[in-house]
Amino acid sequence: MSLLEVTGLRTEIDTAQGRIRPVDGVSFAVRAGETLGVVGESGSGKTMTGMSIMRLLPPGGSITGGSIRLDGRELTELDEPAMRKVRGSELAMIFQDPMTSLNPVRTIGSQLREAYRIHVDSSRAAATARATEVLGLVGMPRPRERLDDYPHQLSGGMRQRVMIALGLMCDPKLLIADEPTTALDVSIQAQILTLIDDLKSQLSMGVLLITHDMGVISEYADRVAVMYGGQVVEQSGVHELFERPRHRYTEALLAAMPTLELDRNAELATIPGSPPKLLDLAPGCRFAPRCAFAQDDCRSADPSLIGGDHLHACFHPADGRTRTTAADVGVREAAEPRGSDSLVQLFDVHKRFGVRSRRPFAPSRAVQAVSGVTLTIAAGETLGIVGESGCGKTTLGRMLVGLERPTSGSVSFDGRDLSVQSRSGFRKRRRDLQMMFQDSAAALDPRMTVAALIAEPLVAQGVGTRRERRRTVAELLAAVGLPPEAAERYPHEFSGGQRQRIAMARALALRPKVIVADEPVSALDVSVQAQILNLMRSLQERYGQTYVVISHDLSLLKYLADRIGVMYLGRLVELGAGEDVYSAPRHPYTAGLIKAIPLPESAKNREAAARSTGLGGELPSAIDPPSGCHFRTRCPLATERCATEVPVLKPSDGLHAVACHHPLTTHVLTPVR
Amino acid sequence: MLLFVVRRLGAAIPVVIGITLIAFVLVHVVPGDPAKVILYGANASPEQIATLRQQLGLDDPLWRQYADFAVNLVHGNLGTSFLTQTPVSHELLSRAPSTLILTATSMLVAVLVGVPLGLVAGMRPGSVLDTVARWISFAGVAVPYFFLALLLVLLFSVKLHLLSAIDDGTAKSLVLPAVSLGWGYAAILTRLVRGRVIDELRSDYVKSARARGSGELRVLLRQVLRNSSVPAVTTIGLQFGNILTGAAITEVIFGRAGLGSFLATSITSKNIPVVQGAVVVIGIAYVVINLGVDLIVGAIDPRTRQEAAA
Amino acid sequence: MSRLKWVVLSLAVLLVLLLLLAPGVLAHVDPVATSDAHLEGPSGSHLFGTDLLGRDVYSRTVYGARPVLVASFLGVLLASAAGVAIGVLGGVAPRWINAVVMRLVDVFLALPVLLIALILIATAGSGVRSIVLAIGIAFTPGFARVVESSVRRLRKAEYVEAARVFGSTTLRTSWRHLLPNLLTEVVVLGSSAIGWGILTATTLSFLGLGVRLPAPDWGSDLAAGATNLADAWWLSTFPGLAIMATILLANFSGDHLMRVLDPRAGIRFGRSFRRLAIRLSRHGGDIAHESA
Repeated sequence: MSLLEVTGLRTEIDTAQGRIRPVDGVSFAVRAGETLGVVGESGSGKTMTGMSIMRLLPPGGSITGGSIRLDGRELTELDEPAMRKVRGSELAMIFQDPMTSLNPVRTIGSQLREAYRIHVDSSRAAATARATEVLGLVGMPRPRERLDDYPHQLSGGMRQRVMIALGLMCDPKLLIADEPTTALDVSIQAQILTLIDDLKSQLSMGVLLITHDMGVISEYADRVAVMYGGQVVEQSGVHELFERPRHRYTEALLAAMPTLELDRNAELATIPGSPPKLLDLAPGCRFAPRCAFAQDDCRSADPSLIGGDHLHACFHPADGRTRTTAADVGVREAAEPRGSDSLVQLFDVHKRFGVRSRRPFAPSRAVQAVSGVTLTIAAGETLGIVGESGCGKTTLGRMLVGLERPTSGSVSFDGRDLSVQSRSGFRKRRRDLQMMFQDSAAALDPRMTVAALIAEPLVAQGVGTRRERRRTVAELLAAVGLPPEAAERYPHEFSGGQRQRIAMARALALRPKVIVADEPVSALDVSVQAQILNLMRSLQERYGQTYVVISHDLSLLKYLADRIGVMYLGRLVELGAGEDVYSAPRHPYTAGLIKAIPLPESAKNREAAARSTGLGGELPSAIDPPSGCHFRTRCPLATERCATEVPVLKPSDGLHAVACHHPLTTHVLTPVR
Repeated sequence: MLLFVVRRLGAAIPVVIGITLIAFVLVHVVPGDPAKVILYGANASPEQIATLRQQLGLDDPLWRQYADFAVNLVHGNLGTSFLTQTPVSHELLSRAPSTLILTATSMLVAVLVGVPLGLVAGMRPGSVLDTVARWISFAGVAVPYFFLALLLVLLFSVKLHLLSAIDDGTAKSLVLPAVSLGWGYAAILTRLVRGRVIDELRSDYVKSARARGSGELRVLLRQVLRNSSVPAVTTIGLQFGNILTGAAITEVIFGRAGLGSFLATSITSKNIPVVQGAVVVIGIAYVVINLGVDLIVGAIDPRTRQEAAA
Repeated sequence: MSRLKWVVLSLAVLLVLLLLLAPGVLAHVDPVATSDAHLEGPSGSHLFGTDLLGRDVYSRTVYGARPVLVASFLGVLLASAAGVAIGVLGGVAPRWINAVVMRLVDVFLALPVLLIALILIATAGSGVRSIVLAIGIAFTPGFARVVESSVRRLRKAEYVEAARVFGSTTLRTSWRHLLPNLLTEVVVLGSSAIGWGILTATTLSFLGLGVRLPAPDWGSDLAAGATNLADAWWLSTFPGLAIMATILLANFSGDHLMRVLDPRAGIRFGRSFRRLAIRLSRHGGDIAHESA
């Protein structure tokens, strides 16, 4: 018998716009000791499904049908006090953002004790003992001392461990993890997911893993339910799903992901449009409006979930034998050899930010955001900069476009040092150096129309007449795939993907030679991501600009970038062609990073992937970075030399350069332990 | 924590110096020669005025005058009243307690009415109770305390004979003035606390506390209360000066002895040393009280300690 | 936005304009003319009754609006202009200038509004002009504080940085991006501060520092009626209700403006705004509102 059985679950919410049904007839089961992955894009109803099981719905929300059985007991029939007893004792839930999910004004210990004593009649001492035990269980170093800490004294990864500990205090039967690692860095993500996986078998819990990330699902789920528009559209074992997706949505979603296997020259498959809003749903399959295979029957009737072990709700399923590879969708012409004229040069660039000292009269300290980066960017190429949060990649990008001035070193463009130029000369230079910000909602002034926003760079630089500018705006809107009517509307009327298109059009307005894109797609759904990535590439072919793409996502960069630079704590530790950096990383950090990325491929050879956690430990502080090689504190290969001597970036073979005293030589992924 | 206190003290010192500077400058801004004011009506000869000017040090260079003023301040000497020729510090001290008691009682009324009302209203936004609380606070902010004082006297004293409007030294006679003054501030607190409670109840940590089986009451008391009390504490501190002057005026309305009438006559009669003294004392009291508020907030919310120390 | 609210709001604005510009349209009796009808209660001929000297309380209430409204509107206008100037200076100037300016603002914040106002009136004499000046000066630090932190926040806004990237000059960026967004906040803040301006103005005239008698004024009429409170309740009550209604109206408009001017970001804006508003409440009192 299953631990959790959800059948025909229906949840409705009254909103100001009308009644919506974010969960519409959802059924699945979770066995003890098993992880069921629930995957879907924003608005798919995956989070609401979790909240319905906990019965923690937003105001106006209620469960209107179906059943939820936990260990044979019907939860929907329980009254609120009885349900409250179930929450936290039999059902536990952890949330996306560990930064905000802990009460900031109470100590960790007090919160853990409370979680225990709500359900278990125990003394304070017993609760403290239990708290220490559970903190140890979730891998918190020196748990006893941590009890008196406040949440803000812990790192994000550690806070998520505390959240898990809070969930485990009363030995729950089922753990619902809602995007538990979305707010964390890749290396920390791997640690947390592995922890959840270990705890699952250790405590024989069931785990409901809710995520948008197919990679996470493939590595950490046993079975998968794919959700779309409030319904489960496909459900099967994890191998089966990745090998032979049946539903056209799953198929398209997998094809839209930039993966390691994907040929760089292939265009990403895209899903047109964006996920459905749950208001005024048309009858029929909810994916039909975006589906390439939709027929008339898809638009009139709602397909039901059929098939034995591999359930799918599709009238025209994929044949179930081979996954559509990207190559079938369309291949770009092989990239022309990129020009090798160097366009931008960074020479020994440093950037220091002063931090006021905690102690009065003590000298102020500095965060070394970027230390000693030397780099040449060729005209027409796409350079990817990858690294975890705090590695200095964003600061580097900001220096490239002149938003920050280097503390020392030089950034030169077209052979001229930007820092020695006069103000007006520099302002002119800016025509050639543009930037796409991560959060387009924040980067577009809310009080301006789209036309005014796109024309703004032209106005600022005094380019063209009013009429010419209007023509340019129309041309750019067409180039980024937006209708001409968009010109007179305001940014908040657009979806995230459309706003990123507006930002792209604005960045292109001055026909710059270089566009720095900081996390251009990280806020978007996977299916929309692919649209923007393809757009970026096609615009590059058309206008020939150079891209510097900054991202935390290696697989994205591998697809988009010709060369990739890896940054760690302010330093460039590895630089080479995307292929080379991937298939033969030289720096142990790069190797660990690659290891930490959960990828759909690994579903096939999970044993081979061997669940190596990739990188242990956490990023050291940039105020007092380790001496010598910054990475040595987390490096399995570190020697005494690494502590005393700073490794310099030097070519190891061809154009592939690495800053390491003990570079990896094998062309296979070396397990890092 | 010690570090936090030191930092806050450090930030307060320039403000205190600034307050003394303003008080000092007052003498030179107010039109009329202080010596003439003191000798007003005495039909003073120019020689007498010149002698007095010298005695008062008014002919010294400005920096010298300020230095004398500051040294005196440090010794607790606020100067001598022009009118009564008694030390200003004595005059202020003898009248201050009654005003401070009224100020404190009004603050208490504000907190005791405003915080619970805000909590209850914020817990169930849109409920009947919430609507009532919002109307009370909306009207409370709008009714001037001197008008409310009159209405309360009319109702409770003149019509119902329940409470005395005249100060007879009992706590009972404090009720009407304290309620009239405290009410407006209660309204402010209600709105602030209500808004904060609504925010906090939507926060992730409350969601996760509910997911661990906390009931509504527990969520309110263990999770939300401490966070929501921060704006109440801060506001009371920031409003201290306004409540104090409000208390002085309320005193005049209710015919209570205190700083109110004393200050009013001092200002109209241009009794500069008294005004100077009042500015210095009230300003420093404000700084001290807000220092206390910062410490309380620091104790409630550990993050503010770190921010201030960072 | 419901149409009813707009109707109410525009009627209210019309009424305020009438009171300010042409009170004679609403009341035909001379507010200072005495008669033999002493202390008569409200009736058909005297809507709000008469006072000790037989003057018409209704007419005095209508005419009494002008000094109060003028003092609070002009005072707040003065304070917001000065506050914006100081706040912008503090927000864009280098660190040491900011430190000096803001410490000075802190010093003034440490002194109660009424104390500042009283000292000023002692110096400059009583009357509406002094009250305008008093409100203007006493409210300035509150505005300056809020504007300074707004400027700091807005300067870091990504759309301002974006403008730098395509080479917009500082002047142009300030004009196109900083100022419009800043002004929205100042307008909202100012409309709420008017409520507090009215309170301050009436308090001062209540203390006898407003218009010269026998000219009508809500505060002084309220004070004058207090002596006859027991047997002529209407003397103080009507001016008092007028004050209340005006403050309510000002607060209501402030709430409304906040929502209308930035409907898109109601919550986000509201939250940061509330934090700022707590600061202003040092002087201006509470203009913090629930964004619900």
